[in-house]
Amino acid sequence: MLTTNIDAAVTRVCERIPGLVRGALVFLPEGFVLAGVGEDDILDLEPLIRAATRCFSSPTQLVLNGDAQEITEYLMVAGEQIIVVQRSSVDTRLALAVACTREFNIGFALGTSRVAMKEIEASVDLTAWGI
Amino acid sequence: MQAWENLVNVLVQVEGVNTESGLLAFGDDADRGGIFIERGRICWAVARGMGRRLHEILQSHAAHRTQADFNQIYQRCRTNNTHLGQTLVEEGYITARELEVSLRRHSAESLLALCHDSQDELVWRSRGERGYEPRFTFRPIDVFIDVMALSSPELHGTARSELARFDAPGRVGAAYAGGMQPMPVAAFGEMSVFEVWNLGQWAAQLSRATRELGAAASLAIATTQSGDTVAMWWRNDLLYVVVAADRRALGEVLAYLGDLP
Repeated sequence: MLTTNIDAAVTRVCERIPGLVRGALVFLPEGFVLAGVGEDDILDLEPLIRAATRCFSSPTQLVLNGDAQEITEYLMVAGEQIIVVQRSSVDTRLALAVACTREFNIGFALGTSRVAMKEIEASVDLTAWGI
Repeated sequence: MQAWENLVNVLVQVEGVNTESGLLAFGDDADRGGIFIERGRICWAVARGMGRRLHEILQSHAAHRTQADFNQIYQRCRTNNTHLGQTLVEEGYITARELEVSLRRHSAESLLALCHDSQDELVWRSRGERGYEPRFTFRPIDVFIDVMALSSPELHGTARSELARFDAPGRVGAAYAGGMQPMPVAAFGEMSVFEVWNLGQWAAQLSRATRELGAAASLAIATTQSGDTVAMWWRNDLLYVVVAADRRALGEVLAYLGDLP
């Protein structure tokens, strides 16, 4: 069942991501946040949001085997954190960006963030945002 | 930086000529030199003033022969209008493999000279479908990496050793110097010059994205819609990128990076 309480819904699905520090559901083209996760102020989410936006808005598209490639997810290890940015397959303008501690392995961070994105797609109603 | 951008542009043009043979000439009447191309592959590249250099390279493989012997053969070839390299092979001075290595080396050195200056107008002189039928041809990407190895031998050696761990069927990879203006210094796998250049440009953009996080990224992984994994890591001022369809590659990269001090 779709919910319009986006913050609560995104927080709930992200609870399963191990070592989660902060997260954001981002509308990519403009880079504005639809929902925040964690105890941070919205301004503290800015680096995460900018990184997510830059990842998916790069002017050079990757070409492999003669074909342009679409990227569905990024994972970055920076300092003591793992950052995962998952692009929605239902609406590619949406991305879930999460920052986790490094105590858990990369596979966990990727797998759980993929599941979280799927759950957001299935349960969150973004029509109020015009999406 | 301009020189290697010139080189990329030239070799991408070479790759684009995949149904014809001919000469890609530098300058009016090819007065600066040119690249002999056979259907997207390089037969030979020569720059003005580099003719003598080919003789030096060939002779280095025939060190057991005297300069006088070599000059005699050279003069005979000039008189009879026959190929020096081919004659050296037929008369046992060098092996066919040594001729191939010499031509490839000389082509790389010539390209380095041709692309060093500001960009000439390039003129394509087609032979149509009439090929040169050379004994040897080289992939542009191989000559490209040869040029990189000539201009940055230490970086090339370091990068090549690191990438060798991941070289396997179905994978491609490259290493880049130059930070935000990535310059390839080594590569493996089936990639064109354009794809190596593009991979570096794309990975450099990701470097910029990670800077937003306030801490330098040591590793980044991207997954494509077709399921390929692109692993990138930064080590000793080089950016490494490996693309693989098999999941084992990612495990190898993670295990390798985990073992580093």
